[in-house]
Amino acid sequence: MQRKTIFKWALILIAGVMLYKFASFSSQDVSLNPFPASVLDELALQQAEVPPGYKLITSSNLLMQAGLAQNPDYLTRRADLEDIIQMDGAAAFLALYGSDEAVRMMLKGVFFRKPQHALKYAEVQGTRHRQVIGFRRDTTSGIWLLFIACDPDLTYDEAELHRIMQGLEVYQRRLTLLPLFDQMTADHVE
Amino acid sequence: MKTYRPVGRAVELKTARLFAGALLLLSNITGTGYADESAAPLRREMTRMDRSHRYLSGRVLRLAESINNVISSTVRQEEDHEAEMTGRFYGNLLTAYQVEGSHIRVTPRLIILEGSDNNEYKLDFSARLRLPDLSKRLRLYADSYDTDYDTMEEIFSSRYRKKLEEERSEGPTAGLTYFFSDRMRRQLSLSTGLRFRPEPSPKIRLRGRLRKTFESYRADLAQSVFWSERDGFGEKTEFTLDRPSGTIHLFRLKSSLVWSELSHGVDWGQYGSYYARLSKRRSAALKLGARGYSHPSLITDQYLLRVNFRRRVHRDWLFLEIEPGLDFFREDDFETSPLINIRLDIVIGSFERI
Repeated sequence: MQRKTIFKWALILIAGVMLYKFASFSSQDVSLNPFPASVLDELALQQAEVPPGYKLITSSNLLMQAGLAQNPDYLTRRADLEDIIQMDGAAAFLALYGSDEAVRMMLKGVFFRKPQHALKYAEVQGTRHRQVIGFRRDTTSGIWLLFIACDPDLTYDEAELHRIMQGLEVYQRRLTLLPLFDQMTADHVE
Repeated sequence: MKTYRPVGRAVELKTARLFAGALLLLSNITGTGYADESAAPLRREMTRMDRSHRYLSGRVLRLAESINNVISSTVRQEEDHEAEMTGRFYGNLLTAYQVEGSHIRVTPRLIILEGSDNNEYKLDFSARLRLPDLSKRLRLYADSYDTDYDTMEEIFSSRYRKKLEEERSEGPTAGLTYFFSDRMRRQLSLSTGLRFRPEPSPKIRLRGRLRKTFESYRADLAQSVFWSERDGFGEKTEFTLDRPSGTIHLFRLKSSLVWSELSHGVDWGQYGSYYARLSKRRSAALKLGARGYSHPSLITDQYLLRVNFRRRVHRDWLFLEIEPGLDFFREDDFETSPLINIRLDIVIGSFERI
């Protein structure tokens, strides 16, 4: 009986130690993660900020085309990272929205340590003939530039564009973003 | 029998008037840095001129991009530098970054010579466009004036240049330059292109450059060999010795030798100059030079004196230069030929030293 009790308590103790180790490991793992999920959770568009019928794309085929393992996700492919670095960015992520058949809206976030690099990137993006809206979010360690774009190969009617803009207004208010430019409705805000 | 023009009172008065005019202009100008493109102050309110310049500069960069895209799409195999999807949504940004540095420099000149009928006007241009998708070492160039035969290209002499253009039917050149090596101390490049006379005539040039610093001196040796369909082979050797004194003063000695199938033996040129940076926007220079040729005998063909004042007039893309000077030509028995060169440098595009 005594032996059984000792054995039982030993098992409980071992389980407790393992649980403790696992918990501490996980928290260390999270704090050392160079690609924190919390940033994506905050900066990605929420359901109320996208038009009805849009959702985060889950199609693996579409994600693969964009170079993502999940959605939203940081850009980690070497070619994408090289391009970002050559443009003085430090990190970038993508979020894809639409149906499982097509990506109708894309959010790209690029992080810059220095304001002049961020402004340069925004200026260059502004020269592309694309339906893109740009925002800026300043942080203590740098600047996030957020660009929301529509697919130039798809057609968007007035109602859909209006719903997109409405959602982005909510998004802008939620994150207190500064507008950079608006090429989606052909109005440029600087 | 030679006749000599009397150096009479009338000529002296004309010369004096010419220099008085120069001094009047200079009182409003005075110099720029010999490191002429010093950084402009941070952008403030954009004027109409700034907006026009910005628009034109954007056009130049887009032109470089377009040429780059056209050539790379036909020549280069596709590499997946960027996922096609993001490229479709946002456009190709990296190429836009990498064509930075592409620019066109436009230089209108007014040359005031002795006698009111003799003023001349000239418009020069030079273009350098990057083609990053082909190679980061490749540039597209276009020049209104080929300096390969000029033994003193940094000092403008209208009459000398006219003579050169008449002898060689000079015209604009355009082509591609590939830099095998493009570092501070070593540079090797190969240029292939066409010279338009106006009919196109192919030209190739291989150019190497070595730079070395010795204590307070900097030496620069450049050697070019070139061939053109019409003029045949030629070579140019240039040696430059700089002695900077702090960041304000610079003394320079430069010698050039050109041999070609059209030169008079070996054409040579030598000049010494002193540069002074007066401020971030202005500089001044004094230049003394001589040039000549070796065939049929070693002859000095021209002496020249220039006092140069250069000023950055607006932002970092508009420069004004006023350069009164004296020329002494052998064919005039080295009589004084006063002149004033007035020049504007307009840089359109994103200017970096290429």
